[in-house]
Amino acid sequence: MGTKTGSDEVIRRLAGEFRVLTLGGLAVIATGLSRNTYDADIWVEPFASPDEWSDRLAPVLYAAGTAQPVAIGSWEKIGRGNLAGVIGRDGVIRVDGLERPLDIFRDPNHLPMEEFDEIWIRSRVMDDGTRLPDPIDLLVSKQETGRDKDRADIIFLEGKIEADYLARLPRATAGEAVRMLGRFLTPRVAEVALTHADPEVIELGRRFLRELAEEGDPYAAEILRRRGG
Amino acid sequence: MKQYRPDVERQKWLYSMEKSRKVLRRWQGKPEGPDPSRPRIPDNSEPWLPGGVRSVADALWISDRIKEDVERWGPKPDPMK
Repeated sequence: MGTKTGSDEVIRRLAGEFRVLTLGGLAVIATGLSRNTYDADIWVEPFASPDEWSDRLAPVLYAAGTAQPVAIGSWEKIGRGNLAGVIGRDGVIRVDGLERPLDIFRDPNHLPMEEFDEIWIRSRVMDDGTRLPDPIDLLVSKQETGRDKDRADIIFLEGKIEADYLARLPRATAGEAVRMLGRFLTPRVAEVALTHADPEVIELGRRFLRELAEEGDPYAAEILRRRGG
Repeated sequence: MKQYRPDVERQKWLYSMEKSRKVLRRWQGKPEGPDPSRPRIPDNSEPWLPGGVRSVADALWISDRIKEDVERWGPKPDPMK
């Protein structure tokens, strides 16, 4: 184990040259949940094409000690000449041979590659030069994976974001409130929206609760009844 | 004997959050499920110990490894607080 290159060393080298966002379990730990993680996940800026991404990253990946890029699923080694093809096809590669496996994304399944710049701007700087996505972007990256282990992360992130929204929404300007509700909404958040001073915010909250009630949500109809909606 | 009974309120809350995600994704024009054409990253978790936890020492060892990860990657205390 002692002779393997550290995944954090590779991450630091990548972050020294490119824009790197931390994803997965490490990002959830960095957001405040105490849990374990087997591997490390990062999202390196997608550049204009798989060829450019491959040309820029290969000198780091193939010179990083014991690192060996492999294809997700087949786990076949990726030769330097095939890196562009694999990243273009899968959107992600695994780097094996490190002290901890490292998954490097160009096109994550649940975060649109085209939104990298936006997500980067919303993220916060970490000590190793990577950035941590804001909790809502992290939540989006966890949704719809269908993996049991992501459920606990989703519950943690939803609870954290909801508490933040319940504190901030009443004092948010109308524009801020509309932007907030466009990214995250729950029945409790919608109920607070109904008490906002701005009619557009109130209407958003009411519309959300009505649609939720039609979907069979157990709280929405009761909130609307209580609030006269 | 006292039986375990799932907390109904918790089940309602989980169901409600699932519905909230569904409605919001519809508003955002996003598909409800994952794109089947993309490779799914399997759950590559491995057992902490071959044969599982057999003693308090094993459980403490796992707890220490989690603590190490959290200390290395978790939020740092705010020096201003």
